[in-house]
Amino acid sequence: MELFFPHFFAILDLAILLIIAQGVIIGIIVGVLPGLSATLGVALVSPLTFAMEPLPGIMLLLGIYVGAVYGGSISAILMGIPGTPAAVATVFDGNIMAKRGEGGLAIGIATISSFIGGFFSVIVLALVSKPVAILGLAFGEREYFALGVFALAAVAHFSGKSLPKGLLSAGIGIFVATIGIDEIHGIPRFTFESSNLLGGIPYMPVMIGMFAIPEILMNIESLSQIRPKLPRIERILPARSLFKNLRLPLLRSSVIGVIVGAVPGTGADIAAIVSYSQGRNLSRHPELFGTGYPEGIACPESANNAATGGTMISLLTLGIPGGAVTAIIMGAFMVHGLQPGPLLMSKQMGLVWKLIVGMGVANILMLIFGLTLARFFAKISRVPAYLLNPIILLLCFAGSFSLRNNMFDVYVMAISGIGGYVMIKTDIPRAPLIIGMILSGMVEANFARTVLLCGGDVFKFLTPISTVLIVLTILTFAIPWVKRLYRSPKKQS
Amino acid sequence: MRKQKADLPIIFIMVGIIGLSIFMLADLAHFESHVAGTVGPGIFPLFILVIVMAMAVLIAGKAFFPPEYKLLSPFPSGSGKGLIVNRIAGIFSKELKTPVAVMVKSGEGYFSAEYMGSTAAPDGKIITIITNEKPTALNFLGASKALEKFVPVMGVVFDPDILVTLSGYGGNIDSFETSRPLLKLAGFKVGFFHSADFPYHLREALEKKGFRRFESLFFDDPPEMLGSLKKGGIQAGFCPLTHFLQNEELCRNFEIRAILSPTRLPALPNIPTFQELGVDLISGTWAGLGIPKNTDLSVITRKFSILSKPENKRILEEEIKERREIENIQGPEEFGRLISKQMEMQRDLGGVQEEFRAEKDFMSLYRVLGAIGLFLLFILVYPLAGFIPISFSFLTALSILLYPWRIRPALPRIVMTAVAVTAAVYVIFSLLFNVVFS
Amino acid sequence: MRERLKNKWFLILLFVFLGFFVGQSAAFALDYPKKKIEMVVAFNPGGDSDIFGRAVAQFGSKYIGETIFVTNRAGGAGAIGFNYGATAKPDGYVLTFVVTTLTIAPHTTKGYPVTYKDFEPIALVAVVPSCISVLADSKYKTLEDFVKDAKANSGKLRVGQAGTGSPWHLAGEALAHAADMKLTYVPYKGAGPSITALLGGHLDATITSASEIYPHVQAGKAKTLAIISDNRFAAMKDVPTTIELGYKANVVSWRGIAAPKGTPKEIASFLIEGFEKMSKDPKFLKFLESRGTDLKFIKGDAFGKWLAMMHDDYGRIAKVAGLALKK
Repeated sequence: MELFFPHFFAILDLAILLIIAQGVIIGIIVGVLPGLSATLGVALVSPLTFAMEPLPGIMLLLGIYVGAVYGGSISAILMGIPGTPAAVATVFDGNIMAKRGEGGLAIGIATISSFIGGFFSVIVLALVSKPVAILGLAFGEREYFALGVFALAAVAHFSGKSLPKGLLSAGIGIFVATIGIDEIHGIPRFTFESSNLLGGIPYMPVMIGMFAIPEILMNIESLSQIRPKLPRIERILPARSLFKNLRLPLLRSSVIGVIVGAVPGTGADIAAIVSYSQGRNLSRHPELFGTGYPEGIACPESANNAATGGTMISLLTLGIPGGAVTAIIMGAFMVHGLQPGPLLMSKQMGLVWKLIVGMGVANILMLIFGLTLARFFAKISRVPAYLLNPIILLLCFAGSFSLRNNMFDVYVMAISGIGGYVMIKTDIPRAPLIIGMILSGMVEANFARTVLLCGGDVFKFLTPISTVLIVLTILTFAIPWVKRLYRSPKKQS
Repeated sequence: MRKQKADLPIIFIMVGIIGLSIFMLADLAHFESHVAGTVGPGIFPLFILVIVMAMAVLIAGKAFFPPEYKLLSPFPSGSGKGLIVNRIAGIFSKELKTPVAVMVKSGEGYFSAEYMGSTAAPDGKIITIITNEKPTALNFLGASKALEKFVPVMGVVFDPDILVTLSGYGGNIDSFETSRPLLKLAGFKVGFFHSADFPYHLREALEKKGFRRFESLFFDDPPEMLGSLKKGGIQAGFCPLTHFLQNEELCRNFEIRAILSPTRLPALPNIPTFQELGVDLISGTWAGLGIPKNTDLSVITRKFSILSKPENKRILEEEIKERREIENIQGPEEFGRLISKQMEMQRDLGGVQEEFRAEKDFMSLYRVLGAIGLFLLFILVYPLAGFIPISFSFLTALSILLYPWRIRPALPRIVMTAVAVTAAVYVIFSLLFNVVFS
Repeated sequence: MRERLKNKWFLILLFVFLGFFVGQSAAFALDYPKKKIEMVVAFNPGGDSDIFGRAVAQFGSKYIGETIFVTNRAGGAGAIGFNYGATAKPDGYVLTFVVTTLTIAPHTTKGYPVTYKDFEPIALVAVVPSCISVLADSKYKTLEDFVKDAKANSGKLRVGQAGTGSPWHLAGEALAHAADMKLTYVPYKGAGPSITALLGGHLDATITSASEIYPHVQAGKAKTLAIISDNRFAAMKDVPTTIELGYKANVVSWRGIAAPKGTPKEIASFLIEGFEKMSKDPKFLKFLESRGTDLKFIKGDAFGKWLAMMHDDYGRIAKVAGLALKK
């Protein structure tokens, strides 16, 4: 640990700090704009880092990563539109709190939770990355399948009162994700000779459409000539008592986030989903989730930022990118002639430590900027509806177009929008559809690979990790039942 | 004959989903696998489609048997009042031994709970939560509109406006010493927390009731007004009681002088009402249950009797207290009187409120359809023309559609915003994110 | 007072944010009068093609004289991006970063909308051979060991491949055909996950591009048994090729730049010249080295002929692998 302090002070160099700050701000903006995700932000900036020195270059990308994952929560809270896929779970409680006038508080909770999750993951990265990375590497087809099923079980917690409606929604999402070229067999499915469908239906425009457009249409429904002004955003920081209640969920969610992030191929979005569902399962007041309950923001937000450090664990320790963003960062490493992995750890220990410390600094800056900007962002909701709604619609258009410069994505967004509106009116939950889309590939492909490798033997499905996950899945469904049974005998007595 | 309007759309959609699934299933047939030894490419989609169809059938089936009793509420289910409504539904379910479903319709006009509730059959099965807390019809106007369409069944909460000053302020506010209690505001600066064009009309109401020569200042919201009160910018102010109760610190610095409710509140026994002080005025936000006109009277009394049973009343009172609202559980006559008093006020203010006539119910429907239409038009026309002109036109057109009348004062603002936003989006996206807006 | 403080913070943040642009002004500010050139990458950000394409765009900008920016038009195994690039206006402002998939997919995917013939070839930049690799401590020391074991346990050995129809998959099929062995191929979404699976001990071997396994060989975690090509791979000089070992399998992955068919000759020549200069840039060569890729520069018509040869080669291999579409 003697190595730690020289690097810590090296980071305090003003030029580097400035770069990190710029990265975090850009990241937050990218995150807030719906349609622009962390992946896109990092991808766009990465060529610019080729000309820089390795340390500032990669620090910039890390700053953007941290900022963007956090930024998505702001638009989720204020507009009901997840700015990045990782913020899907934050919409529910966050937006309701904002509608009650507690938008500032919601942003405050999201900021602090993101910071705690992110900083926790940096500490894990610094201290225990090797064991966590090995855990991540132990995930093979069976484990991925079990993890996918476990995450899908989260659908039950997003279904509200009606499980059939939730399953219907998830089923539609899973099905839509199968459109395109099959991962395993390489043949096109349900593409009907269209080259656009050959590429599959991208889930970002679907998410933007399904959340943004119904929200806007509902706003328009409630429109009138005079708009009642919401009470001024009075407080941003949560009260100490609230904070005390959140300690355990935050810790739990951060751990979930780091682990899910460390598993190669899964990132902040899956971390947020799993954490929300487990958070609800294990909470004292599960029925308050979805009604504007602070815990419902704390769980997903800490998990998704914890995943940022988690994905870096496998990158730095093993040289395997943990997700799309870390794949780009790996590319940035390699352009500078650096190979992340054990080689880098041994030859360039200093650089690696500086990066880790820098990531910690990025999280701190995110906290500071987030709390400062919170009031500014909350003011957005005070813009009159007749100006705000068209602007958001334009951003949805621009956001979904900017993914691939393809009008097809915009059409997908529009159709999802109308579908989402219908879903709101018929009380069908929308989150399961997105969750289904995100997890469909993982579940199907790994199931197919498992069958490929294990023949027909069912028991071969069970490995230590996959068994644990399957048991957890069963528990996810069982616990609400058990709670209900537990309560009724009490009543009778 | 019960009207089952809500169910047909769901059944229709489920049938559509089942149809699409069958269509996709047909496509499954010609998938050929290149990878031997594992499940074919069609197995997983087949499995999923089967689940989808099964769920669709289940949901359609349930839709054939809608719940008999419905409670239509304009409050979102997560809000304080929404949770109170859920509690009421729970009590009704328990007593009537049949499920009572809460349907949240938080829109306005055509999409509102009020519209749907007032056009329902008068058989007592569909109860509406009526309130004057609507942007289109606030306070007195809201009362008038509610009585137009509904018969009051019972009150639930009432948030009266109160008159506050700094603690220990003497002055001419009230004088119990004299034989006739008086309320004078002459020469004062009085704060109201709604901005001038908000049709709350409390100021006009006070003027009608004989208050002259006081200067009124409008603030954006209660905290701003109270801040000014503290600093001395105004000597007295009006604000809702709930705001006061929800912030304990305020209670320390300020004092309530009078309250605009029909009777003194049990929680504030020393605060006189305006009526006691000689001003016949009631103002505040109330919410309660209502039933369409022409409903049988016995239905009404029966519903109230359910909720006035001691244990039910207690549960409801607790819930209201937990949500930091002010309890006002009253029977049909009392509640009716409260609303009528406000309606009278609205009639007195006739001239003023004419300007702020609430919009017709179908306006909201037109707006939604118009917005959808404009957006689709935008998407379809965009590839043909450039981004900048189309985006600008879209923003302007939609803003105009959404902003109701009085266009002229707002038009420059709309156009300027449209120009600024179009430019900003274009610059940011094409420069920073390398998007090609051909 | 608090209001002013907050505004101050906000302004500070704004300046920090804007500072980002000032720092990069070299690239942005100068190119405003002229139009930027779009380089279409038909794959998702972060992937191998994308990183390569962005590097080519970055380095190429200097020699072409204006900024080349990358747009990702992913989908359909390159169908969307390549189709867009081939049908764009041939005025030199839309280039496409073409890769191996262009010469494979028409043979294996039904309804693939574009082939190499729809492009005007500009230059081939790099060629990456595929190779078969195992864990560093695996029991297979040479390719012969592996083949022997495969033949003994026919169909049992698990070999990862980076997607059905990908060059790596075809390389594997070609090798299996040449060595007359039956393997169980486990498809993954790209080489990355298959390497991860190898490192996790879930596979016996994996077939990837040499550049993707190279970092792990350097780190001592993986070992390459053979390069499936006829030339040794510069970065891994002591790994034999399959041709040397007597197996007729030669599958390479290539990357190049193309323009829409019909691009005027002057523009094409200008671009070819520019990219040729880029191929001599030491920084670009360093980039290639870092990714373990060999430079192979073929320009203009010669590139076109090379593409035709690749296209036919892959057609043949696809048929052998049983992946070809039944015409």
